[in-house]
Amino acid sequence: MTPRLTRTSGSSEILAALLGAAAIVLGSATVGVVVNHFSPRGIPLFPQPGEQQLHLPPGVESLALEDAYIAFDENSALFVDARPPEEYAEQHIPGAVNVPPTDFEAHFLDWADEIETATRIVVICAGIECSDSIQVAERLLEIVDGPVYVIEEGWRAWQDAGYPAQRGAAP
Amino acid sequence: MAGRRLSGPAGSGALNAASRPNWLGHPAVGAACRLLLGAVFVYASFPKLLRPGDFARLVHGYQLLHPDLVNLVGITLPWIEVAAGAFLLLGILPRSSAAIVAGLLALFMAAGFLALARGLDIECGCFFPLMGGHELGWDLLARDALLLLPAFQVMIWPSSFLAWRRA
Repeated sequence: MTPRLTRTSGSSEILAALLGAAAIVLGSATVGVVVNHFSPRGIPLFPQPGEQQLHLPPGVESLALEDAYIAFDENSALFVDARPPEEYAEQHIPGAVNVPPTDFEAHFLDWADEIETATRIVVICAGIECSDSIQVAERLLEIVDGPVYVIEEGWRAWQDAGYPAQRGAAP
Repeated sequence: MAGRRLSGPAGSGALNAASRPNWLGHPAVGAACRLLLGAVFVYASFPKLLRPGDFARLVHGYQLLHPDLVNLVGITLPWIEVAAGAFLLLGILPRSSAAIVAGLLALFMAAGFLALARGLDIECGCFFPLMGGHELGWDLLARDALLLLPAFQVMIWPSSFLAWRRA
């Protein structure tokens, strides 16, 4: 097959391309809004007044950093670190168990006794932008009674606050 | 078949240069650029489509948007990505789709630059979570800049080679 050279763009072609781009953007965004409306994983388009701004699934509740520290200090919660094992090994909350979302089952089995007997579970991951803690909390809710708490500010905020940390890989 | 020019013999030099046969404008190169970009954007969009809440959280991490707007972006942006990517793969409206991809890449680079300039230590979220956590860094901005090249290629020389329909 002989390659066919395409026509060069004139201003009308540029305009047509831009109009086409606008149509794709508007069309796909509309599809996204409609699918989200009917999806079980859908989130509010805009948070309602008084509602938490970042969406959390049912059964997962946010725990403020200071309240998490109080729970740590009182030893009233089991901390679950959802970061990858190498980050956990660098530093983690003393006593926290490591259960990342990838290969959840294997990691969970290492700590099943602690998790199943915990009165309160607090999950943490790297920072405000990460959702590994939420994914782990959702998986834990299939096993334990809720709610499961997440520290939305994440490990970096815990570190920045100067709260206790310890080194070492999971046993 | 010889290439046709929109302009006549007295057409502008830029248009003539764009229609001049060269390897950059070869339909096979165009198809490769189109398929590469399409595959990258479709691949990147799928996990975001499945978990819009998590993606919105990631957008929030860049601290550029008011929190009231992050859900809207988390819901719509992955669909724009997948539409532009699928259209590129199929060769439908390739110039328009490449323009969207170029715009998104420019947006990602600007957001990444602003985050890095403010010293934010966050995950990129580019392919989340398929490729695991990858911290935002200058290397990722360079990758986005590199991806702009095939986008420009498709915008300048939209190729119907290996396309579902002609450009």
